[in-house]
Amino acid sequence: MSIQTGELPLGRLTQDGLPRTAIRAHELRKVYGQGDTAVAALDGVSVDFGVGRFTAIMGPSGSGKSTLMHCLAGLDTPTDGQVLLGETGLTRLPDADLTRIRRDRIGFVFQSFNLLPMLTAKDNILLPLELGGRKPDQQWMSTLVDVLGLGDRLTHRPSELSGGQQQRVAVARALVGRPEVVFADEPTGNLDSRSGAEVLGFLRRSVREFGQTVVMVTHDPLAAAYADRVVMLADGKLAGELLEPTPETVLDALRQLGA
Amino acid sequence: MRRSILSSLRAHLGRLIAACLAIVLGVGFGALAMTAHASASHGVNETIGKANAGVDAAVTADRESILPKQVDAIRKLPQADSVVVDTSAYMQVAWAGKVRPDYLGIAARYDTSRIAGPKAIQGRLPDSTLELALPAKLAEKYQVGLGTKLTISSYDDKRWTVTVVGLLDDSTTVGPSNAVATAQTVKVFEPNGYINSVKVAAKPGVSQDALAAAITPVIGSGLTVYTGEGWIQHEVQGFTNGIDVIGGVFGMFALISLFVACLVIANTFTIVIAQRTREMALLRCVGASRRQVFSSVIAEASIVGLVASTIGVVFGIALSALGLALAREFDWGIPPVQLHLDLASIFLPLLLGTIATILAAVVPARRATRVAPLAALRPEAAPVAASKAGVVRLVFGFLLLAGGGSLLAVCASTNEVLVGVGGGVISFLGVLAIGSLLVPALVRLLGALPARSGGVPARIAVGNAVRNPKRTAATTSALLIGVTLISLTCVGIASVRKTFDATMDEAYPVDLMVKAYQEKMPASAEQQLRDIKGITEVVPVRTVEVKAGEQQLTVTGIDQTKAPAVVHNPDLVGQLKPGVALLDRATMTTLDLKDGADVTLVAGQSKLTLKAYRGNGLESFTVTQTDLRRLSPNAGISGFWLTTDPKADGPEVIDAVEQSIPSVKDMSVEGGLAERSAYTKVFDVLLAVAVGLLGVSVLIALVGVGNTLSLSVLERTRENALLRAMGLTRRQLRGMLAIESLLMALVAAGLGIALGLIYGWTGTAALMGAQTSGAVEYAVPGRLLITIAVVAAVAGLLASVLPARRAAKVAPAGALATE
Repeated sequence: MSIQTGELPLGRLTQDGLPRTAIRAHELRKVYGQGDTAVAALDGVSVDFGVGRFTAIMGPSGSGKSTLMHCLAGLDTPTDGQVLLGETGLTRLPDADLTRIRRDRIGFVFQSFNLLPMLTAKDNILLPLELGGRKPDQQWMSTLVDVLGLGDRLTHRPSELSGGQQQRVAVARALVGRPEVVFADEPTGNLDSRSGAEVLGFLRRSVREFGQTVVMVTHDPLAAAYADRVVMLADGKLAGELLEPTPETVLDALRQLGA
Repeated sequence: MRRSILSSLRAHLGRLIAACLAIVLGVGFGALAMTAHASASHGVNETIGKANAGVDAAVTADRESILPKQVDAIRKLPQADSVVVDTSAYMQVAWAGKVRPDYLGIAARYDTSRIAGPKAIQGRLPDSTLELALPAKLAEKYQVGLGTKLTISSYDDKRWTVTVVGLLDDSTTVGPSNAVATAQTVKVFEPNGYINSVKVAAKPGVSQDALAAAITPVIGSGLTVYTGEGWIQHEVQGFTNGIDVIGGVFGMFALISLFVACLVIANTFTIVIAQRTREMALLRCVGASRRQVFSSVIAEASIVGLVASTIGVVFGIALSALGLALAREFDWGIPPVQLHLDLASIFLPLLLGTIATILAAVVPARRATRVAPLAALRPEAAPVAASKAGVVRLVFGFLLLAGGGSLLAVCASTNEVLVGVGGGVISFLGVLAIGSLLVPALVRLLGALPARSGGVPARIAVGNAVRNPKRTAATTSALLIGVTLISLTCVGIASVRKTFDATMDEAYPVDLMVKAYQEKMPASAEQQLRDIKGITEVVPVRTVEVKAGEQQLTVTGIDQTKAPAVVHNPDLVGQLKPGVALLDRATMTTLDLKDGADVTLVAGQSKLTLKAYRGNGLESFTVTQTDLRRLSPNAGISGFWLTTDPKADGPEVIDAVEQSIPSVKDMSVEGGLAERSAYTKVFDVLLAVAVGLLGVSVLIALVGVGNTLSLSVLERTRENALLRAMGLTRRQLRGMLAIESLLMALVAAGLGIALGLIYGWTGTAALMGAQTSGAVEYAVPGRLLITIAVVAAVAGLLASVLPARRAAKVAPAGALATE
């Protein structure tokens, strides 16, 4: 494996002929502040995320990886540039449309505070569907519950679940609506290593077995090694990428970034 | 420590604004009440003082007239300089455009060189016979100008024509005031006129006490002598008693709203301190003692209380100045009064407001001292307090509820009003104490429907509303107090009124009875009456003069089939049938009859025997038209019995009826309407005043609801951001908060209305049980109660607007931000 720079490799074609990229950023810029105090969190980032692939975004603190994810997921609006989710340009959509897209076409797993404390695990899983008035696919739901081992936990509230269980509920919620992209932001940041490995395993299974597209932000090389591809960011710019990463290659790449 | 208090105040000012608003409203209301009261008292003092300027002694008769020789005795005193006599005649005056004459008091003009008297604002005071000066407002009402000739008649039908020569200044008097004529004229009108009082001005150098002491021995017994100052005080008393009662009621309502404000403040401080747990813990970590933490919270409360109370006082005084100015500008039927400020009405509300704020902060401050220093080190000190309602508090609440409730029930049946009020207050405190159990349960119950049909946002809203039972209970409590009091007032007044109506129907079963004495009613009379707005039924009655033994009687006959339309007492209607006569008490006594006895009437050749029964409120001797025709087949229509629309303005209808049928000169209008409309008006005014005053506390409570919501919104920033990230639209988020607010408002309204019904009914039972001969009637003023619920709901929705806007501004990316 080697670090590639410049031209991005093509995403792989899917069997049923969908567009090759699930989501694409083009010349994204995000500037905070104005005049002398302006800081560019993203400085012209162009990157594609292939359908049915597990991509990790890595970089040191302040590299802009979270900002990139927020812009990709329609949580934040870039100062300049474009985001395409499938055929839909996100950057100029009003809040209500963005909200609908998040609800119906995107799934999220956050580092912490993933679940609403007053809802049961099941209600939390079904939240995005119910917000959109969609009926859950019962078979898919029970598959997810089985795979994630949540069968006896569905009626519990978040405060009665362990951190790992909470995060698995969050994964189930992200997957249950079959979104075009699942964004995961440091999904293992608050977990012990075993629970973390479980959650990452599930994310990878969802890609391999169900063809889900996952984009994950992390700073943990072990977590990044679960991905098919690692995109490196530094100082708001793309700093290379790895295919079929292992913890060692990721660590190497990071060291080179730091150098 | 001081720097930390000030900086934390600055940092959290926004969160305390609602609490400040509650204090401002409560204190402002108190200051308004006290200033208005002080101004009114002061105004009365001034007015009466001015009206009695120069009076050094006054003599009044308790019952009868002061005798002329007593007046002469006073005049002979060397100490007396000017002695004036207050005497008046009560005459009938025919106004242009009025069919029948009206009554007018005419006072005798007296020497005003020393003692203040009526002043002419236009023209002059009368100085020869058959001249008259009219109160300006009266002259305006009947469009009488200078030079107008008026016909004055006495009760024994003597007539004079007088000329209006002046208009009197009556700008400071309330109600009807007297016209003025010379003493000789009044003597002509009313030769035996009473002397009501004598006022005396002293010779220079003679003190008021000396003058009064000189008068007392020369007038004999039966009269009261006052010094000038004593007299003014006596007169002022008569007015200010009423003002003091009103002031007391205002003060009570002001205290209620201050209490509600206290609840809001306490709740706000509790929430704010819960949110500042980490800050408090950090203070403790760096070495602040518990006492220092406690006093920092109390100091913060003192500053907030003092500042808000000051604003409240300024606000209240400004409002009363505005109100008084408006009252002077427009004639509201109250005497014009200048703004008068005294120290008490400025400093008492200020002091009470500040103390109330500090007291309200004591419990939250104590809670703040219990924060462990370690809490500062925990990563996320969730402000969601684990709030299980204290068992002790619940048990205590249930005991209060049971005890107060049974006390109330006992008092309702034994008519112990004051103890009953105590029972009511105790049981209500019980309700407040179990609020943390009761309110969330009701919210869940009420929320079941929206939770099922309204989707996730509704379900989350219900969950949010019950998440912190104590907070929800405290928030609704404030609103509950206001709604309960308002419903109680509505239910109580409606019930008392219904009870009154029932007794009125017994005493005055007919609204209006129009009766001609000598003349015949014209054929058009019935139609004329029907055309009057507010008259719904007109039934003619006929009379015939008969003899019963030696007694001359007037018998009135009414069509039996039409009687139910105008007689509101079903018992009387049932009794009235051919062969029966209904007599009033006096006629029963005169004829020496017992209930059910036979009475024989003779009219010319006809003779008829009837059974006589007592029947209150009809004519003295009432029979069916069938029986009347047997006595006199051709008896003409002599009058009408009328039913009026209960919603019509009573005095206006009476006025219109009195002015109708101008061809009949001698006509009387009687019946229950006058009395009924008088007490209806009293009840309406009472209701409006009470609801208006209690409305202030509801307003404060709603500020509290909005406040709790916006503080909760602050706490739930991350949750709301997460929901937004998950795809909750802004509109759904606002709707969610609206539902939460609506649930709290509706639970408070529902519970308050239910309690209001219970308290209103038991209160009426306790109050009226001893007053009325009949049964106490319980009313459900449905429309009013529904209005209360709707207003509470709308207000609840409004209270959610600002917090919802703030919540909707939260960027969804906020959920991802790790603290």
